[in-house]
Amino acid sequence: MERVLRIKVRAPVASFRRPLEHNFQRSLPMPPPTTLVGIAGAAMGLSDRELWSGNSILRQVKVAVWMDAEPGLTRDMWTVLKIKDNKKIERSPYMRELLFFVRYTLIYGGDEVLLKKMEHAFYDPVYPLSLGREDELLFIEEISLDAATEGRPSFRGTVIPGDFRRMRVRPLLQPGIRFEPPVVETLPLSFAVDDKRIRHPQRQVTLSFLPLGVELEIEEPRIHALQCQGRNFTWINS
Amino acid sequence: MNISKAITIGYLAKISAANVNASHTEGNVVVAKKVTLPDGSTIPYISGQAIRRMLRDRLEDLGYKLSDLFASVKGQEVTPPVRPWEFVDEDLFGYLDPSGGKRRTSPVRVSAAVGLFPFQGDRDLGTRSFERFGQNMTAGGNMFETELYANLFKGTILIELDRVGIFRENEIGENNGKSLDNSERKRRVRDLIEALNLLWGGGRTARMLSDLSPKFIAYARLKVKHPVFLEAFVAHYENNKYRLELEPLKNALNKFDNYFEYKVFGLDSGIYSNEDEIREVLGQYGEVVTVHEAIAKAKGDIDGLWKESSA
Repeated sequence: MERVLRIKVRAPVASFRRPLEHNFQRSLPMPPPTTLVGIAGAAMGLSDRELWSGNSILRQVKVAVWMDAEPGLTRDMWTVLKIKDNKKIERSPYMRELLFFVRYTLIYGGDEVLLKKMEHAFYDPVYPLSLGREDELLFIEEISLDAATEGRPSFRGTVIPGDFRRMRVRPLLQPGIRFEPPVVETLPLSFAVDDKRIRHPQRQVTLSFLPLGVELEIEEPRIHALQCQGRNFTWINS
Repeated sequence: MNISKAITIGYLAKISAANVNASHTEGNVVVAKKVTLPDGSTIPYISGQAIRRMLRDRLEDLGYKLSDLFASVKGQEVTPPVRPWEFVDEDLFGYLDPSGGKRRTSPVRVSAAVGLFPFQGDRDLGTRSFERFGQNMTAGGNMFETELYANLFKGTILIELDRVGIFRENEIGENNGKSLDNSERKRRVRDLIEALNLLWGGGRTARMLSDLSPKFIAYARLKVKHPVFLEAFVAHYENNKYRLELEPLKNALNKFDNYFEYKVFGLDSGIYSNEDEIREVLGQYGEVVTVHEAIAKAKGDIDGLWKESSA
């Protein structure tokens, strides 16, 4: 059994840009690990430097997430004024995928003292909490210190470490189900923040974002499944 | 001691026929920004950035001098003035100075305004006459279409009271930071709320002007920074009017009951089919007045801030 902090959230709009995508910015279907740590950091009032420093209070926090509902999707166009020869020139269009009406459960693990501090911070966050950009505010539905028990390696709508395509996977198919293929992406687990407050990705790992619409039984000995509230999950960053 | 940390405002704006915020143009069709739900239906929305721009413009209408985003341009690098004590938009909406790593996260968060009803596929047909290009009117013109909608939009604004008019060292690059006096901080928050009261803007205003000022408002001053009304608005359409469902709003009000320090509701007449019910139910939680009275009460509430404490 393991103590976890479970935060159930929803938001009208959210987006998690995939790294290196610029003109067409697809969104990950769920918040990546750095966003999950960042949300906790915002709740606790940590600056970006404090959050990602070697002695950050959240350095050892474990994170996981699962999706509670299928979101809506749009491709939002925005324009950026491009500069050339020190003059303003025409607007340049960019596309960004946005997720609408998202519902997630964020899971944090660590020692109980830290989890209690985090629980308090989520009740009374120092900065407003958002899922992606600063205007993508989230609404907290539930905060709970729970116990996670041993789970089964059968996942849906969650993030697991590793490349799904290289795992032995058995989808539990049923008539009428619809789902998108999993998203596999290389993502950082932390950042180094330089003097200009530019973040540099650290500890890059491969993660698989599994769809909500189908249960996937995964034979992968490195994945340690836990269960909470009837959902199986695994830590993304440990 | 005053411990208010945030003001949150949930509002509903009524659009009769417009495309306030367009996406890219598809052929000769100006497409409205909209989202597709898992069931295939689509819902229009107005982005948070678009509403920020409208609020900024309305603050200018109220007499504020705004910052020049292109104050300094070197190659591809654009640097704003970074004088938030001087420019209200830098204070309220933040900035990024890439040259010096100075960055202010906006203390005012503005959600997208999301339609409560699906998009029905309506389009406005227009013709760009060749007469304008020196030809005879009988030569005709180019046809174009604009997607448009009638809808009720829900939006939320969250204001971090402990950050308005307070500028930290890493935001302005000056030791010990800076702060405005409390009367100026209050003036800025009050005028931001007035800007919401005056809200209009977006695209195609020459032929599809729409009034985005709230037709329902829920104002709350809070001990915590939570956008409590973010998911609280649901409506149905009946008898040519909107019916505001009160359960989600009641749930939000009950859930955050311990954290409210002041709240007031504004309701305009003639829009909702269940006006009496709204007044009766919300009256159990706070005063229910007209929208303009609620805005006035909200401003009065802001006047009472920071009396004992400087932040």
